[in-house]
Amino acid sequence: MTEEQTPSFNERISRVSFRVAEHLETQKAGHAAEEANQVLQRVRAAVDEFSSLRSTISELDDGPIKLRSVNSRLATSIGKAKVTLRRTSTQLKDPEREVRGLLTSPSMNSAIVDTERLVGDRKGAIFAAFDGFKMKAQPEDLRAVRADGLEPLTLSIKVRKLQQAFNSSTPTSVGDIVLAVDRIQKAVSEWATLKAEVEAAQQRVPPVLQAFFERLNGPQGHVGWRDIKDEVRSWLDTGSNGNDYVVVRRDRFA
Amino acid sequence: MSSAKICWDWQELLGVTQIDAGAMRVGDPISDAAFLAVHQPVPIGRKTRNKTSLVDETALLQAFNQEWNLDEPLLVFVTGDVGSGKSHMVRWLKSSIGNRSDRHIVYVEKRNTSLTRVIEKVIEGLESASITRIRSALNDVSAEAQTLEQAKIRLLNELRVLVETDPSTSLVVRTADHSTVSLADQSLQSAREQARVLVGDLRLSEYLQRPGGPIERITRLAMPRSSESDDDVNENDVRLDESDLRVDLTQVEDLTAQATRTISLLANEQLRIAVAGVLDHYLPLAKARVFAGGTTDLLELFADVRREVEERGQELCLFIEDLVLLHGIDQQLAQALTVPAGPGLCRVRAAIAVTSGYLKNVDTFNDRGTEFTMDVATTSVELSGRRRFVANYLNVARLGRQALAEHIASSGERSTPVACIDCDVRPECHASFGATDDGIGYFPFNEHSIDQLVGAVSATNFRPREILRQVIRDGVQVADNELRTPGLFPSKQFGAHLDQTRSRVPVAIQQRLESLSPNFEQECSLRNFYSATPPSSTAKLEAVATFLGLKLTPLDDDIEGEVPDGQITPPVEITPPAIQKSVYERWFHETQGRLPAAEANKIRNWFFNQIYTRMSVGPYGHLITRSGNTMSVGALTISRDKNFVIERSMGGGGKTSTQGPVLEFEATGANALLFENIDRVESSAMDPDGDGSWYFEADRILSEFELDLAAAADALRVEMDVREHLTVLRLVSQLADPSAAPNFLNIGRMFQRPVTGGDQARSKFVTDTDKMRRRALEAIRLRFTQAQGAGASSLLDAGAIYADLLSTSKVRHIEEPGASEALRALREFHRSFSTASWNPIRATFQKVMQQVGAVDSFGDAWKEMSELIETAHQHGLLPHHDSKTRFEEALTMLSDQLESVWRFLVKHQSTEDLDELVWDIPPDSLAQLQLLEKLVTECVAILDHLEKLAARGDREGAEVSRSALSDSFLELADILDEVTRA
Repeated sequence: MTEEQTPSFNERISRVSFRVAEHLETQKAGHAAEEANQVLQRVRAAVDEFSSLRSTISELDDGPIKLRSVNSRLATSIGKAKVTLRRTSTQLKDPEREVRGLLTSPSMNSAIVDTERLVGDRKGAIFAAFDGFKMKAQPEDLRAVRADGLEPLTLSIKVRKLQQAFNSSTPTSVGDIVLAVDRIQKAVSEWATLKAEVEAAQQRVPPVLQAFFERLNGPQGHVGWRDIKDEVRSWLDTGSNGNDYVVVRRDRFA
Repeated sequence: MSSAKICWDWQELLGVTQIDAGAMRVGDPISDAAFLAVHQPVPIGRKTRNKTSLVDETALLQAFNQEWNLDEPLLVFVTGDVGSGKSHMVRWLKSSIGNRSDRHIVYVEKRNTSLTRVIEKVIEGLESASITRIRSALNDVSAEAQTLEQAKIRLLNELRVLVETDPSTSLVVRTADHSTVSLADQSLQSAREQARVLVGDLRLSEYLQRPGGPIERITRLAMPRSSESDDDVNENDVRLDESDLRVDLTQVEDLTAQATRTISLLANEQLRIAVAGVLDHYLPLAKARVFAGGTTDLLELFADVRREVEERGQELCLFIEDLVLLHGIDQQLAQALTVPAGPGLCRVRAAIAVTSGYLKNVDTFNDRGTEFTMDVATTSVELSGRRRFVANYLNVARLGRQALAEHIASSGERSTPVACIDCDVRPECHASFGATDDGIGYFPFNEHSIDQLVGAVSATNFRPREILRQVIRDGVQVADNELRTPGLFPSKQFGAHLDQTRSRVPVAIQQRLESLSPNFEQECSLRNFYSATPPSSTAKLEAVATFLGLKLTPLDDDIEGEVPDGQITPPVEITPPAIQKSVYERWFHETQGRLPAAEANKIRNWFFNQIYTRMSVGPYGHLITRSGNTMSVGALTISRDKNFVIERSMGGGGKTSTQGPVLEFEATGANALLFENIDRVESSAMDPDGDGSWYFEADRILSEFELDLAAAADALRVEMDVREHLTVLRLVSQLADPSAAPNFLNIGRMFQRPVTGGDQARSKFVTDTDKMRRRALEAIRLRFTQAQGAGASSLLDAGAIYADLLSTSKVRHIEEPGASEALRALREFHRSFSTASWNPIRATFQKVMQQVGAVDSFGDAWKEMSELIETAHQHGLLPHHDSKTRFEEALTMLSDQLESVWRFLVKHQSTEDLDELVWDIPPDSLAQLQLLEKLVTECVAILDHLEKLAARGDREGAEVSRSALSDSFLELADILDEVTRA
């Protein structure tokens, strides 16, 4: 067995020179591939986005929401983009065509950019349509009704829950929009059945207590001790009604 | 037989010479008796606006005691330097006026004084309601600030509060030299800020409080003083000045950034002065708050005191022994004292002792009162007065203070009895040592010794304290120790601080006395201090000596009988010297003085010349040559400046030689005398002194040195044979081509001094072996010239040793067995030269080898490397932006010799004994190797970097498949169809 000979200084320089030359060639090829890879990633991202949007758009179009249509200029651009994508797809199958040239052409770049703009446009259309639907769907009387003091307490909680369905903000994900639409439609329907019962309960709230709630919910947001009449005191002392109220000294009141 | 006996009690003398009046208690009958017994009237100066006139103490008494019907206060200031007797005079004033019922007397002593105590003194015996309240506040103060540590902290706190809260927008502060500095706006703000950090920062305030630091010093002086303390207070010690704020960084740790900044800012002297001025400005108030009770208002207090004294129908009579001690309340006190008397306010008269400089600081006192100064010229005090000053203390020491007090108490007299009256040796004692007119003996001094010693400590102004310390106390202490052994007093200890070398007895006489007198020390002391005409003896000096059991040595200058008064040597001229001394005597007497270069070189020259002559004719067998101030004795070279050394002399006497013996002369009286005689001979101006005995001493010194020199030269004598000498020359000369056949050209090189420079190891070898080479050369030369005379040798003479030359000209190293001592030494030099040459070369060589391994050709390597670097540079692949430049620069530094150096080292990389090879190392090898190492390091770093880069590139660059792209494009187009269709 012979010991491996350590290369001389001169040999090492030669070897590194060769490796550097190789490296430079590889580097050149690598740049082209990197560019192609970037294009591919953008295309795949657009495909994924549209796949997710496609079902949402379809479900919404079947329901109470109608999306605005794509504006004509973008529609024209998208038309061109489709042509470019299909043509390039065919050309890529020809090994004689240089990949880098195909991918870096202006028309190819426009096609991808327009596709990405369409993704943004459709997302915006969905959120705008949902906001419009929510505003229209909320019954005026549900918005106005005061849940404080309603008896029984469960009725008060139900009213607050229905009101909250309209007050919660728009979902951040397109995928959640369909569920949010369902929730609102359900609330509208529940309110229709609950409305009469709420009106009857409102009649039962004594006027002093009503006045107390009005001031409490008014612009001041608080009432003075003198406004705590016997009826109010009695209501506060009942069950857990008083749990949400505190007495604060004036000079500590922010 | 001595008649002398100790007629004093040492403890009594110590007690009565307590340095200050302030150290003797006021009101104590014993102290009072002693005080009056030692008091000696001396002239004092009365200061007016333009001049100072001499008056006696009664003038002071009159000035203070005069009828005074004005409302303005009567102020008398007794000023003077430290130790001039100010406090003594205030005390005398107090004892002179006695107790009068129309005066409320307040006496503020130095002893045991504090600020609190001063106020207590002022209100002592008074009982009004407000005074009772103040007394209570003072009790609180003394209850609060008892320990030094507490007081220091409180003082700093008060300072901090004052610095931080004072709203003043301008301040005029005083500096240590009594000048003033105005601070306003920015300067005041800056000074206050740094002052605040200084007293507020934890570490810095700890530093200010450190033992021995300024806050401790100031606090100690404001607190009650020890009763044993007998020193005056330096007025600067009660204040803060810029030197107190110089922070020693080695003594403070863990400083905050702010504190560090303050310290660096305080390096500026101007700022330091300003900050110290600010702190000093607040210091009195801070001290008053800490030590006198924050609530005590002295103006109010004095008003109360004066009201109560007025009610008693008295005037306030105030004595202050030292105003400096009142720093902190002095300004307030000054204001309080200067308030005119009026309805309900009594009159005030005050006598205040204070240094002149401090008085200027107390603004309110400026231009008020009468100033008497104790700073008077010694000559204004008569001789009899000076002698009496000393005698009074001796008298009290003989009587004893207790006996004195009892005598005064029983007799009712204020006059002091004379202790000598009952002494059985009084007649002969007084006849020999003298006495005052009323019979107080001067023993153990006589009038001349008192005059001499008092003159020495009071050269210009009369200095009572120094007389007490250095004349009476020191002199009597020596006598007290030595008189117990007959013939011992007065030894060299007597007056040692004042005239250690007995400057009135010339060295020549001292030398003679040393050899002739059995009591040399005592005789020198007597002739120096006790003689009317030093150094001559007189009949009276003989009587003093006889009384002490001594016998004087007859000298030519001695005087028979007594000296007329007019011829007595004036005493106060003890310094500067009474006798015109030569430079050599001054060199001996003045321990700080140096012998001037001219005289020192004259003496060195004389000895150098004498030695040269002696060595030249002496039977030593060495070649003696001389060049300028150097002399060669065989192989030994000595120089005038390095081998002849005179203590405390100019002109090179401080340097000592590393070669040959050194003749050293200490600064003794004998050497001074010797030099003086040499000088006389050299200058031919006068004959040498006396009987020429000095020359025998010089001859003895020269003979000893001559023998030492010859022995040292013998030790260096070359004892090798010619072949060995040639070996030395061969090895040292480093023949350029050791393998070449010896010829005259190469042999000639053996005799040349090798060139030094460049290679450090070679230069050191040449220097180390230079002496050896010269010795070898000299030996060869002596051989050529048959060692006769100093004739120059010639290369032609080499014929006699040609065979030896041939055989040694190829020597490259020294064999151990049989080598002489000198050759072994050379071998060691050679070894260390070889080690010093090889070690760095081999170390560098190995470093390069580790990096590059074998090298086929450096030339090819650099060529290929250059191309590689160029390519990598173009593509931005090099590790650093300047890698290419660094490589190219390093490459240009290499010489063409590198290949040969490298081959030489590769060839010998396994050779063990390299000593012989050291001659063959190609020149400049180490430098070339170091450059190579630098270049190779650069190359290897580039190669490593490129290798890594290339390997990483292998992993990249995988091509994206066309089909994946094609399929994705189609899929996207289809989806777009769907979306847009919807």
